[in-house]
Amino acid sequence: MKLRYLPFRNIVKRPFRTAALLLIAAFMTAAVFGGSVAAASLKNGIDSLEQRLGADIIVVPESASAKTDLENMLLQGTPGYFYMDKSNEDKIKDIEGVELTSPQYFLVSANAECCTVQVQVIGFDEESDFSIKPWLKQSYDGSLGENEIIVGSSLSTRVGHSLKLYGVECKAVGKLDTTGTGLDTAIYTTPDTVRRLIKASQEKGIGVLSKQSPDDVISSVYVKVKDGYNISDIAAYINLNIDGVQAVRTRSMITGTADKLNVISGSIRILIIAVWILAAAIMTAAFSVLASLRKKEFAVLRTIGLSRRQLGGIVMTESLTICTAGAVIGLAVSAAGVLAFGRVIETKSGLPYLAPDAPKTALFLLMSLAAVIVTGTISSAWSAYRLSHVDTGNNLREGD
Amino acid sequence: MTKIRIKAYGISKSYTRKNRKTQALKPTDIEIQSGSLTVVFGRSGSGKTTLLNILSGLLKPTDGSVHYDDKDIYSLSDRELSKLRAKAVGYIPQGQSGLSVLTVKENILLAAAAAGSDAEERGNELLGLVGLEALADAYPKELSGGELRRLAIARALINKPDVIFADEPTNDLDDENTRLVFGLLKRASIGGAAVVVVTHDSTAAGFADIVYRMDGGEIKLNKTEDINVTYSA
Repeated sequence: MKLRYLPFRNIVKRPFRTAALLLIAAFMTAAVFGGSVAAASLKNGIDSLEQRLGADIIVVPESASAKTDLENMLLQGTPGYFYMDKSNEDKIKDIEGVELTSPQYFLVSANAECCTVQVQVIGFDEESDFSIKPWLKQSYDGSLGENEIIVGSSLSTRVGHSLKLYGVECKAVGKLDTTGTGLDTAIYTTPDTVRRLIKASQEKGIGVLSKQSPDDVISSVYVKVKDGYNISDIAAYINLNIDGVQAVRTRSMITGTADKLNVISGSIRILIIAVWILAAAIMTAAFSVLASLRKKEFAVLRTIGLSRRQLGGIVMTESLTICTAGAVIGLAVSAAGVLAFGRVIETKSGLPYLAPDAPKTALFLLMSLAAVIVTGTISSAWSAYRLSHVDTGNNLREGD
Repeated sequence: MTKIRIKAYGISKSYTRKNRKTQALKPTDIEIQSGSLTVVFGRSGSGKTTLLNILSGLLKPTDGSVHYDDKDIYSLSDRELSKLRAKAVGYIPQGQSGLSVLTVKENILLAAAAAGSDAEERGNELLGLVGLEALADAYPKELSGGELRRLAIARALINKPDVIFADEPTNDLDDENTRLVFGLLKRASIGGAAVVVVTHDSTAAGFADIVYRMDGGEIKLNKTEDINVTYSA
């Protein structure tokens, strides 16, 4: 018999008490870890969106907002398309204060041909582009050739394989990292390829363009404003002076989503704190009640010669062991829930959701673990103090 | 086992409960001898457990001092006093005192572990001595009152202490178990330990070398001849 075994015997031989404390610790960890990861994932999602927009202003045909939900399409990748005369880009380029412009071309795949869902095809001009290429580079650094495409992470097509769009064989030369948005089901290619696809769609009788030639249209113009110029003023100028287009500030486009996300993140944070306080209170109460119930046990230990420090050590070892085990269970459960069901959360909430990378997840994991262990230790410290300062004589009688 | 001399000078204990001061033990001088069984009789509330706890180093007196040989035990740090209690003192508490998570044998050996020794052999010997050999792997909840008391005695004896304190060791026990318990304590005193028993069980007198009576926090020495029971272990 060794003294150091005593805390573990107490844990194993009192299964109900142990299970109850484990449950509290697990619940607390699950709330702290799950909540932190969920909040971080939502923040990552909006950061990723902001980063990928890259432009100060997006100019689209005036009819675009009526045709489809512009914000959803540009931010979430909800498939849609619209076209305007390509001369609009030159008009925008000539406006004072405009630094860069780049056209983009949108097309929606026909369901049956390539994928189980409709995908957004986005054509960007490699020469002038400044909004897509910087982050596209992470997956593909070359130059896209004829009928070559880069696919979103959620599409099953692998690099080197081909998929058919309107009967045209397109070869995937790159695959993007997950963005946590609907853009994960998008396909990126050159304007030439998009034009070829538009023509192919017309040949198949699925006319996305009624009168114009694919060579004369673009879908949108991404605009970067020079430093020192007011972005809102330039957007207003475009709206006033160029017919048939609407200029939208990208920031205002994501404001709605960001606001919604801030509210949700705030709620999650409040929930984490509330659960933490509640769990700390329950733990303190539980350890305190246990201290009262264990008076006699500790008085007996005093009679056989255990010092106050040794008694405190027994209580702290028990609480530390239980909190660590509970925290590990809580982490496993919440990690399974939050990481595995991230996609469901994204779909149901309609918000961008991008799980943190492994090092950051590990950091959250360690922080949650530390939070619960520290809380458990502090909660039990008072009990440890009380039990180690028992009036042995009285407790030997009262504890019966 | 070393011979130890325990001397208490002017020890007293007062409690304040609900603004009322109660003197559980009036100023008392007492000396405990090695190799003798000292019995303190008294009714409930007479202060005998308070005296026992003060002498055993578990309860600091309001006034006075307790010396083990030349050492004032209440001037020691908690660590030093705990160490002294672990090595030199055996304490048999009132009622059930077995730790429910440990077996009978583990309960006994725990006291040895507290003293920093491994006393497997001594543990087996004591299990035989107190008649709990067959119950070595049983848990306290499986034991009767008499068996639990014997467990407490074995635990108190494991480190071959210089002094043994027993608080009502035969409470609620039948005659047979009562005699068995006092017999074990007597054997310990014959073996050289100073044994102090506080009880209201008159059977103890037959085993006692020195008898005290306590009443209202005051202690008085009694003559053993006054009590007509004799030890026949």
